[in-house]
Amino acid sequence: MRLLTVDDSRMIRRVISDAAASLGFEALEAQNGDHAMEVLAANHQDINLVLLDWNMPGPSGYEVLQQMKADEDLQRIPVMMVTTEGEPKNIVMAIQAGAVNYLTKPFAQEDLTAKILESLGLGGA
Amino acid sequence: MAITREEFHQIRDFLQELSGISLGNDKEYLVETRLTTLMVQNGCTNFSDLYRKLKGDTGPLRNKVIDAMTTNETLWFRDESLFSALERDVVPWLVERAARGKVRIWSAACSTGQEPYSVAMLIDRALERKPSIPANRFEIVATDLSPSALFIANTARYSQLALSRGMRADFKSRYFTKQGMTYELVPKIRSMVTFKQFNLVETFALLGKFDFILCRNVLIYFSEETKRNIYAKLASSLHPDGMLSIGSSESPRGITDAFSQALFGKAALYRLNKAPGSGNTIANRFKAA
Amino acid sequence: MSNTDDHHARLVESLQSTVPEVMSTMAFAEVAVTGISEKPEFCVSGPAAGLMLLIGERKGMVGVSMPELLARGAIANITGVDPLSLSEPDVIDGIGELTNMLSGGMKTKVADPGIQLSPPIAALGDEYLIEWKTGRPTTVLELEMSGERFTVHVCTL
Repeated sequence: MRLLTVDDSRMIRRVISDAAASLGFEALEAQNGDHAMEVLAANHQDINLVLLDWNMPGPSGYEVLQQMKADEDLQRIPVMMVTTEGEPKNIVMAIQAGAVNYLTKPFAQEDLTAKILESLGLGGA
Repeated sequence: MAITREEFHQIRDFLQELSGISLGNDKEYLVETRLTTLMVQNGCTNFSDLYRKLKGDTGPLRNKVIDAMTTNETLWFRDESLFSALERDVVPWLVERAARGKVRIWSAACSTGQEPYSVAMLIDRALERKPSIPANRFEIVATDLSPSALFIANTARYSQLALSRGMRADFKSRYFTKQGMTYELVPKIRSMVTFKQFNLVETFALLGKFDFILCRNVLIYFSEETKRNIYAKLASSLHPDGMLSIGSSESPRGITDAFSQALFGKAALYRLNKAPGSGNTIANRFKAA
Repeated sequence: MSNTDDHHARLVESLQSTVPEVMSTMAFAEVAVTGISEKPEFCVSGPAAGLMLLIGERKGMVGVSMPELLARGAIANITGVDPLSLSEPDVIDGIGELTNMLSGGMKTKVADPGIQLSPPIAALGDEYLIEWKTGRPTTVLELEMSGERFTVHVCTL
């Protein structure tokens, strides 16, 4: 499995990449929405899950989500939000826009890995 | 679309009744976020909708909600005093029992595997001094409600971060091989543990009897009544002189008198109250409370 | 819309639970609030400091100020690496994200649509003072983590 983590914080990208590695998955990183779209354009066939921060320089994670769902090649890739935006209205917005899961920061590593697996449809009910 | 406190409480109360899980107020904030996600994922527009769906659901959704309402913190050798007691007293006792037959151990809320694997590592160390006893005399059964935790436990691969939480350096170098950024548990330890999904509110009858049961830091989630029921089932699942370990801040006192306490250093373990007074029981070999 | 004093009090209250939550969840560190005081100005001195502006209808600033080793310790706990192996850019990035999480948690708890946060500002240096000249009082939370002191500041315009 291969994930793409999009977050402007190197520290967060590292935590997510490490979690991915512990599950036996590969991780690609992007530091903002524009960079993410470049990575997706080049690798979309091999990416199984995208983890999106919401607030980033440039397009927001929500905008990236909308772009992905509007794109023929990208819409099939599951997306989960990983963000400090924890209000119900944000959760509702994101899931109604097509995100399959939502993780708020701060997060426990166990929750991160559980949600990654859930979003990939692995090890879940 | 409204998400009100009242609706949230309605769901929380329903779940408490259903699963026996009791939620502290300080967890409310976290749970609300998780339940909101579930709510929207299941096409509900508010918590009343989710509540209705839950009432009609027989399994998958309820499991997800229970998952959302419990938080698993996992550390290796989590409780210093317990693991000292295991290393010094309990594991040697189990090894002695293994000389005469199979020894069965149950980790009843194993989460991502740290607890049963820690026990397996301690057993392996002890067996070094007893080469005549094969490791396969020991059967470690590890169960949890969460399928994703079990997936991770089965993979037996941990990040640098997960490994840094409580793992002892000598155990780390001995029992893990570094693969890039992660650490993989060596096969001989991995093979000592079998993982299964299991809900503690179910019957324990099919699991058989055990010499040692760890049921740590999970009973806290249950109501008095459910706890009582679980303790009764735990008592029935122990061999007559078997041992039970529960969380260091927990106690069966006031809930059941099926157990009596035995202190090992600072760790409290529990034996069945009807344990025989003679024979090779721990009480006759070590100081009891 | 509630008055500014009430709003300020809600920000302070939410920070008191958010800061320990962030540190315990991600950095496995216990945080205790040891004091609350009010200063006439918004002023932080680092050595490690993070700031976030409140740029919506409710204007103001949130800041955190701590010793460098504490920042390194927290970031190291979050990423599972040795604290002294972190480069300065790593520390700056980590301070920024910690500040982001503290302020973000505060925003989520208060749930006021008038709160919008800027991207984080992070500073690292030996001796400096950052002063935000607003003429408005600042509430300072005094906290303790891993035996070290640090502060969180909030000022509402």
